[in-house]
Amino acid sequence: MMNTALVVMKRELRGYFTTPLAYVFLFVFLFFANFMTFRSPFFEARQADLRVFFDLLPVLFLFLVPAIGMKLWAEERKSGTIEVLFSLPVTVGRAVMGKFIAAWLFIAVALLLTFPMVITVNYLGSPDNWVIAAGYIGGLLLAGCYLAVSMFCSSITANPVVSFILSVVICSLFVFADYPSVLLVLESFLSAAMLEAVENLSFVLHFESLRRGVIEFRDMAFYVLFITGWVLATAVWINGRREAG
Amino acid sequence: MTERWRTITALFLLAVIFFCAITITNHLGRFLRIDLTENKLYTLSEGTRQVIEEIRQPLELKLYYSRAAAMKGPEGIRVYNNYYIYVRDLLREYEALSNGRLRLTVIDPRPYTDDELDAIRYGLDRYSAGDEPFFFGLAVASELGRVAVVPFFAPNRQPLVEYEISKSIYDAATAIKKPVGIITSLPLFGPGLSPYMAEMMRMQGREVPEEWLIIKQLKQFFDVVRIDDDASKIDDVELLILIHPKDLPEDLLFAVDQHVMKGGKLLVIVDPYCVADPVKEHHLRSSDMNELLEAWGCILKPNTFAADRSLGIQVQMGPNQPSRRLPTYMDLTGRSFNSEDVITAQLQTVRVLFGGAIESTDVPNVTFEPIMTTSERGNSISASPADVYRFSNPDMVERELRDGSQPVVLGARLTGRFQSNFSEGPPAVAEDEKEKRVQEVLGESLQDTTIVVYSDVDMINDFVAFRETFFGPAPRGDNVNLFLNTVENLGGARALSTARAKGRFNRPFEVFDRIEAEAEQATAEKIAAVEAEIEKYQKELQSIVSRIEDEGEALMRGEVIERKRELEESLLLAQRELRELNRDKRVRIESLISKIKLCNILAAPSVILLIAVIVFLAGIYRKKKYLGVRNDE
Repeated sequence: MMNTALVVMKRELRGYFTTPLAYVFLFVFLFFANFMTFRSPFFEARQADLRVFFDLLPVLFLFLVPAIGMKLWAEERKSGTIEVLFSLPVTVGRAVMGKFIAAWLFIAVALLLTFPMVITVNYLGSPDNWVIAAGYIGGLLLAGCYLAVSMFCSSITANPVVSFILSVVICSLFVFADYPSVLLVLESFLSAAMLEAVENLSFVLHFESLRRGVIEFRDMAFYVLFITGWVLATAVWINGRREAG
Repeated sequence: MTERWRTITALFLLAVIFFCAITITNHLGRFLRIDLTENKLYTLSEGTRQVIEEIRQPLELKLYYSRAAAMKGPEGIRVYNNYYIYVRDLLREYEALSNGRLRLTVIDPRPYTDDELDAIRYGLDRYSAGDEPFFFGLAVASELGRVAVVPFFAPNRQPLVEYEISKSIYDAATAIKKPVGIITSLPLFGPGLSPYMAEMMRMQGREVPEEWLIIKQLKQFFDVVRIDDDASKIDDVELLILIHPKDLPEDLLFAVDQHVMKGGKLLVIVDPYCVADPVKEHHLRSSDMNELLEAWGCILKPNTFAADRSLGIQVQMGPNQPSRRLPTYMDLTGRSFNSEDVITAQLQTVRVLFGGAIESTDVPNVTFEPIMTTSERGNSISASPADVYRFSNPDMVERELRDGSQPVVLGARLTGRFQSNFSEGPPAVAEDEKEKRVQEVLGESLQDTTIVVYSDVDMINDFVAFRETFFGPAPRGDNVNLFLNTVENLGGARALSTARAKGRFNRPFEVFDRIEAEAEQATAEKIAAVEAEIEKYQKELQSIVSRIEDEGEALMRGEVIERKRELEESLLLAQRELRELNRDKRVRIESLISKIKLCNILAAPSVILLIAVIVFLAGIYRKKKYLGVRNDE
């Protein structure tokens, strides 16, 4: 039964590499990732690690992942192919999962393509490669969060541009949830426990340990729960629309 | 209910369920973690666990963090927010390990509150963030009223944070100061005059020797015990410090030896020439402990001084003389310190005056680890302490000194099990008694122990380690820290001394370092030649200028004035050459940086572009072929 999700995933993934969008995305992502990493203070700090790159990811993903996620459902609805999809013997849940995993894999490919950076720091010094590996795992999970939000936004509107903007706005809420200035505003009307709970929703906060090379249960639990929650929400919404006809 | 409302309700419920689940898991699995770092940087060390285990009384950990101030402050303060969370979680781990003996409270000291007053009273550092004070420190208080603090958690000290916390917990839990023994030939403790005598001497215009400031500092943290030359046994002292030991009697040497055999720690500070030594004869101002140290892993090379052109300090040899660089009077900085040793990891500068060279004697089962060195350009010069000029006159030193290729060791840590120098029996014992006494002698250290050796005594003397300020003497550089860190590390808690800086947190670009070292070596001779030339010109110029000042420009002959102009020109040219030579060093690194940037920024995206073009061309080709087939049909 899992096979139907797999079929959807394969169809999606193949779709990526036959459209120019995927290549544009990869090009832009790699260019900015490399360009911003190798600007100062990478060479001034002279530390053989990828901290600078991982510091960039939350902001880089903020604009690039919604660009991948925006068309996941919006496009299907706009062009009407969603009807075709659901005329096939596939449940909403599997279709949603298939699409999500395909897009996630695509971002994983983009992340993997930054491997020259790993080679570079290994050439320049002796980095702790396990820390770098943990950073990449964190990066992938971080991307999953952005993608899950973007997919939900894409499912509630037929317009990819609206979906994009909505995703960026919602994702920034989660990126900046632990910013002092944001907390200050929230502090005026939230209790201390609630404030901590809100802060705990920050993508960046949970990325912090992974970036340092420590895999914490609570960070992993956060990412898994967050992604599952938004993917489920997408399935519920699409199912609802489908039932409503 | 319509379908739409059902969906919205379902979404709302989903949101609530997942929000709660995330909040709960955040509190549940706080201590489940895998530390992937090579040196387990984020796992509490064995030393810390031992410290916690040994606590007998309840301690209160008060973490002060000005959260509200941080929120109002500039965005740059965010780094503290993240670090605060790290420190708080670390402290929670301490709390969890302690079986209730440690109680953690987190306090946000708002302005004008009792909390703020407490934070100030505990002596935490106070900074300003916007218009509010900013605190980020820890106070550990015992029920007996003993308090130890970490005044400020600076993110750059993260690798040492566990040591700092464990140390303050240890300090608060320990009620008594640990004894530290000192053997010295110097008047470290002052002459022991009565205040009346001292006043009398001052009235007579005579200088009153005083206790060294470093000893005053040491007494704040330790119970300092002076060990006299006629002692034959050293007991109840974990750490023994030898400062400029000279002609120690055999019995005392034996006592020192047995102290180490019992597993005691040893700090040895010797000097090929101690300026602070009150002895008049120059050749008597040197000390070493080679008779013991040689068998334990190192020696102080006799008649040898460490020197380094790149670290030398400018000194003025007399009034109206230009200041010159003296390579035997050094400010050690940066890479001079072992960044992986807790003693030296955080040091910035240490001033050393006529220090010696320490060399390993390669003793099996003993590790010799340099902790303080010159730069790679450093080398040593040979001179007897009697020939003061040969190591204290810039010209002489400049002439003798050849740039080296390996750092000269000024401080070293020896660890392992040491062999006794008295395995034949204690000294000066009658033959018949000897056999009996031999059995009392310990032939090998009972456990692993540590000896730290430094090759300069003056660095802890008042005039090098302190500077006069309006408010009294203030520490200069990190000389005092070096001494106190060493004593703390050796004489503090045994558990703490294993909580050393956790391996490699510093991972430099080795390629850059190598290139720089190569370039430095390649240009060292040229630079030295040009520098010598510049100095020659400067000297000649100086003499002409002083002649002009004396005799008046009008009276000077034209050729002298002409020579002055020539010299000024040569000086400018030489200085330009020097600048260019120094620039050459950067050129190779800069070109490597450009190459790396180019490869990374352009290569990967270009490959993607290429693949895209190929895929599309292939697509077009396939389409054409397909259409072609169709047309053929």
